[in-house]
Amino acid sequence: MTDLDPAMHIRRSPIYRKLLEIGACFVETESGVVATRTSETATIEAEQARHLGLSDLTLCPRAGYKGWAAIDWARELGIIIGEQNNRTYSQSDSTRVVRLSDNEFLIPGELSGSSPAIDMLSSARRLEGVYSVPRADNNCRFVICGNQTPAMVAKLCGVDLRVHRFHEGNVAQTSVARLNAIIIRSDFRDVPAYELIADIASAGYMWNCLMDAMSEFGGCIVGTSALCVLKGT
Amino acid sequence: MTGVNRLDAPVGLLIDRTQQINFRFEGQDYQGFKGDSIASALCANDRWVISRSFKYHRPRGVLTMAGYDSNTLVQLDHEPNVHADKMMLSEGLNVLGQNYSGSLDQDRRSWLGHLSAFLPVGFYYKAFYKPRGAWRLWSSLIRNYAGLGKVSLATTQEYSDKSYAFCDVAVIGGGCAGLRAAIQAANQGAEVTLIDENTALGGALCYARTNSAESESKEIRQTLLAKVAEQENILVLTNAVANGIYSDNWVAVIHGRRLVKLRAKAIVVATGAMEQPAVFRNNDLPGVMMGSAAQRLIRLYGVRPGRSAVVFTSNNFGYGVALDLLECGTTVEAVVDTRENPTNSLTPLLKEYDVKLVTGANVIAGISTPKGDHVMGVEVVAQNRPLTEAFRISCDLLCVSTGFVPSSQLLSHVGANVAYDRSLATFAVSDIPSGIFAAGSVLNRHNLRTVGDDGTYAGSAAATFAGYKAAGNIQPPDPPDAAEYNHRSPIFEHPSGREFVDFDEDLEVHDLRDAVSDGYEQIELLKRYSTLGMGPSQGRHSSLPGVLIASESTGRDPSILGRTTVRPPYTGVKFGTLAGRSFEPVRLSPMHYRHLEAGAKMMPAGLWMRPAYYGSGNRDSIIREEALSVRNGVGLIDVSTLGGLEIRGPDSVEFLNRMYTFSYAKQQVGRSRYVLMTDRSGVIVDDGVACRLSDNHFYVTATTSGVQGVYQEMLWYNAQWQLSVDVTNVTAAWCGVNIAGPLSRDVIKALTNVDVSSSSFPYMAVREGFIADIPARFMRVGFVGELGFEIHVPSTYGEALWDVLMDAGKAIGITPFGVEAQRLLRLEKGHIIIGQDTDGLTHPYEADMAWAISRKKPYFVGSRSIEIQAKRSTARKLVGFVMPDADKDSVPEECQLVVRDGDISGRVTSAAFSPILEKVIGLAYVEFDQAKVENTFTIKFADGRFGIAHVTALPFFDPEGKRQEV
Amino acid sequence: MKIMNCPLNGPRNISEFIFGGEVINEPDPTACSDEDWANYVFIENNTAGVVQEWWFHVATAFWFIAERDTRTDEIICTYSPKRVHDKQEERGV
Repeated sequence: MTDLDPAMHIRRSPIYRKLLEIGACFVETESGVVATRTSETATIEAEQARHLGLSDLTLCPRAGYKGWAAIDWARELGIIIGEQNNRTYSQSDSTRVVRLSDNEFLIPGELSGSSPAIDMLSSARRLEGVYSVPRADNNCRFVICGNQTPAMVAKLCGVDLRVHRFHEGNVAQTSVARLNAIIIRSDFRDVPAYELIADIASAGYMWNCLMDAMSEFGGCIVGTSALCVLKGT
Repeated sequence: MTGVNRLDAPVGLLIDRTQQINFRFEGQDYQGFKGDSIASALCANDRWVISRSFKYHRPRGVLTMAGYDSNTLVQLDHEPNVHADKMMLSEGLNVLGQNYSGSLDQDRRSWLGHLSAFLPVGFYYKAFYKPRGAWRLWSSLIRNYAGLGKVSLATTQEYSDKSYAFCDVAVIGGGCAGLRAAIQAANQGAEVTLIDENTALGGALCYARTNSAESESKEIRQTLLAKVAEQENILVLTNAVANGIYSDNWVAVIHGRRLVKLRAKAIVVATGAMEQPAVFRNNDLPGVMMGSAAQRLIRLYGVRPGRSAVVFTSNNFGYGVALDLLECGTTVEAVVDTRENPTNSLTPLLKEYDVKLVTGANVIAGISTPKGDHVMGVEVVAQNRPLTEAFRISCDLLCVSTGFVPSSQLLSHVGANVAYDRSLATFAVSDIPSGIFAAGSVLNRHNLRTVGDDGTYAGSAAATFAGYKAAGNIQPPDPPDAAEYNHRSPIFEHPSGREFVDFDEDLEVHDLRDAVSDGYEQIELLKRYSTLGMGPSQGRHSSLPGVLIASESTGRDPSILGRTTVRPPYTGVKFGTLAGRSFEPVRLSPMHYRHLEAGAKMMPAGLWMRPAYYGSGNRDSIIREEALSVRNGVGLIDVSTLGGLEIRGPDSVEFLNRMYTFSYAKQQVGRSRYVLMTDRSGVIVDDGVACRLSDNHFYVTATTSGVQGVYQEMLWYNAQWQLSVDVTNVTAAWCGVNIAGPLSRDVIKALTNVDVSSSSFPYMAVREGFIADIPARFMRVGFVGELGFEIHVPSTYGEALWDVLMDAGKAIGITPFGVEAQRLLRLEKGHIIIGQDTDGLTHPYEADMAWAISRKKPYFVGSRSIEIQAKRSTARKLVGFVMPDADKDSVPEECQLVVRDGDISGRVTSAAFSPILEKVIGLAYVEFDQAKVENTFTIKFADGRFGIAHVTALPFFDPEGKRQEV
Repeated sequence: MKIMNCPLNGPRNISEFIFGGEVINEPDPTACSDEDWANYVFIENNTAGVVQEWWFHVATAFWFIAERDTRTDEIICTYSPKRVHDKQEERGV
């Protein structure tokens, strides 16, 4: 375990105290300090995550754009966005771009600390009808993964999220534990994984709800290294 | 040894004879088996009196063994009103009866039964109210006698939760019809959820005897269960109660401590029918039970229901009951059949056993033991013969099989019609809405083959409705055959009464006749006046006889009388189940933990938590100290909860002009301006500040609790105006602090790249830059009326910002201050708080906000209404006041009244003792003619004292605003 | 729990939505009479029949229109407000 203390950095996740409490180990990335492990070895954690795991990805890069010209503007810049709303579109470098509506898309971010697509868009010339949404600070981002994920989220969300009804890449913008949330299905190879993007001010409350729902199935908190093991990266 | 009445293995579907369970009942130790209910274990041990009735405290025992009746409600340590015939035994369970004083067997209040002449139906409407004031005395006495079980305040909270579930076809009821429906629907490709409230699937197949060969039910049940198990797309939920069907096929299923909210595309209701008691004298004695109850005792629990029995029947099921009793060693003294010439295949078998068969006769009374605690015989008389010809048959068990009523409650929930059907001699269901299907004895079919075919038919129709068509044609079932099973009217009035129609409420036949003669002929009124059907059984047994008696008494046809409305829930439900995890969202500032560490007392502000003040000790002096620290030095307050909206696009100015009362076209980039929002009716709804960051970009703040509504309204208006503007709610993305006080500039100037000198950063200016490497927006606004800087940063930097400022200000004594001090400081400056100093009707002229209304714009939301208001005289005004004679201990509270000539003429909206002015100041609504400066008015304190207030010009402190503009 | 078919998100529990009142053309506030204005602000039509209504999907901050029969509470259809706006433009509102 390294000594990296998230409280020494100017950018902090709302969940950092809860992660410190369980002895998480942090690494510094371009976008902030992220919990990489919550136990001695990432491989054991990965096995736990295969069953049911929860991870905090709030400080990973994240961006969003909205406006009547936003989708066209992104397409002009080489971003692939299809016609369907509430759908994920993969880019050539595996970055995911989520189309939320006719006028909005979101880049939820990947596990590594950097995101070329986000950087490219933020430095590109902005047109009328294209407006940035401060997703990195407006929202928290958690991922729930493992075979028990659908059973667990059934305790929190009224949308049918069973794996044969909510497919890879599907997006649901709905209410989770009475909070507005965006749910994105984004499996780690054969392991089901659902991302949750919600109000950052309620991150602590949401985290507690997820922990409570998880306890029935013996889920646990995992770090980003375990997720990378599952992804095979 | 678990009971003298326990039958030998293998009978007893639910019990596990290898696991003995010890429990206590009324202070005595008993043993039962795992799988026993409390009632079955007690019956096995020859313990038949299990509880007492509500009104007359009559001893009661098992009636249905299915939880349909409430004769055996018992008290557990942490739960009252438990159905003894449903609750499973657990090791060490401590059980008591209910409705007695002293002991169950020696109830000191059993004499109440003798008072029945003085407790007629509706007696509490007719007595106990004279002389005047008598009710108060009577009510506490009656309260003591009334009520069922007791709630233990020492009960610890259970963990209850909820979950959502989905299926194509929900089948409610796992009897023959339900099993066949589930199998058919699954065969057609539907995802099926099969729900049954019992531990074992099968419904009546588990206990009923359908023909002479006792094994038929068993075999059919095995076959159906095997087919269900084979199907991968049938999910089975047992011990699960469908407690209500709501809009769009949403079913509430109570499964243990979990409430499952199930959405189905189609529903099959196969909930069966309830065997009905006959109404005759002493029909409530322990030992008098339904034929199906006796069969449940035998087949589910391996308990012999009695030693010598009489079966009272109007259908062939009764003969099956008689055979079952004979086979388990009970003597059957007689089968009394109400029918003159019953024909069925079982009669010859009875002859073999030498059972007396009495046809065309009725049981018209039960005979009780001297203690009144068990049946010891019955009186029987032939049809249409006088009572004098009645003869006795001794017995310790009377099994009644005289008819059924469908368990149609769930169908009533969805609006189906349930009314008396003359041809079937019971209630029948019609007009079932689309998407819901029913099958089996809930539709008055009892023949086993018909029931099964009905199930298949309904299951197929449900699956088809859900989008999974059948391969071929499914035959509709035979019509309802309930007429063969139901006695027309098994109500046998007796000159000595005690023929109970409603067991829960101890209502006899004459009570209902009396209610009708008291004038309550309408079924809904009859119910409420007599309390018929209002007990825990909710009319399961009293509805039908109630309607028949009312029909006879009023001379109106029962199908016209109708039925009382049936609503969810189907059974009682605990509050914990409805609450689940009690999700209560809370929003925290990124600086939240720093406040806790500094000893803040937190208070809710909408969904947010904010520090009210810091420290423990006298609340009011702490607040005054915090306020003085701001005026005399420098204070720091977390304003993260403030609403924030980005308004961007070519039509930004036009949009702001339409949404707010003020004018924004001429606002310069790098400046801020007040925003005031009114609604369509001209009422003030929110305020804030608009910062112009560029030509087409405004960052607009709103109140903490108002921003969500403002955001919603803005989107609604622009959905119609279609202006080229984007509105984004960034309330959570930007957190912030306000550092205020004469020393505030000194704290920040070294930390930021922005020039914060007075000339470069004047009052009302806006700047973007960095503070200690954190990107930030800086504003100078009025706020508390001191030199100050409002600093907004992205939320993930919030805690670091707080740390940097507290550290930088430590040397000069920077003090965190909370919402209460902020309120006090702002009151000193006469700032109004929307929602506290304004109410649901306050318009700008009442609050002296006319200055914020632009006259040059053609339109803004509420402008027309404000114009109309301006033409009228204003009834009231919000004014500032001081109370020179009051001290810091006599500060009026919010909403204390302004009185004039003995009448209310206004109210206080805010008040405080100002430490800097050393007097009580406040805001209040007064009548228009009281509003002149120097005028006095009277405030009434909570304790009845009066205080004099002087109307004062606002602001109270630093009226020229010099301090905030340095 | 009623189902509302959101034009953006598909069928959802009605608890995800907020009702926004009947779709009514605002009378010209600069030209109409005081009485017409007051009727618009305070008086509901309370129609027994199919009514065009504003509904808001809270999680996506999306306003849309639903046509609902107030007698049976049946939701007939839902669509984006652009349709209403285009119709209004045609009428020169």
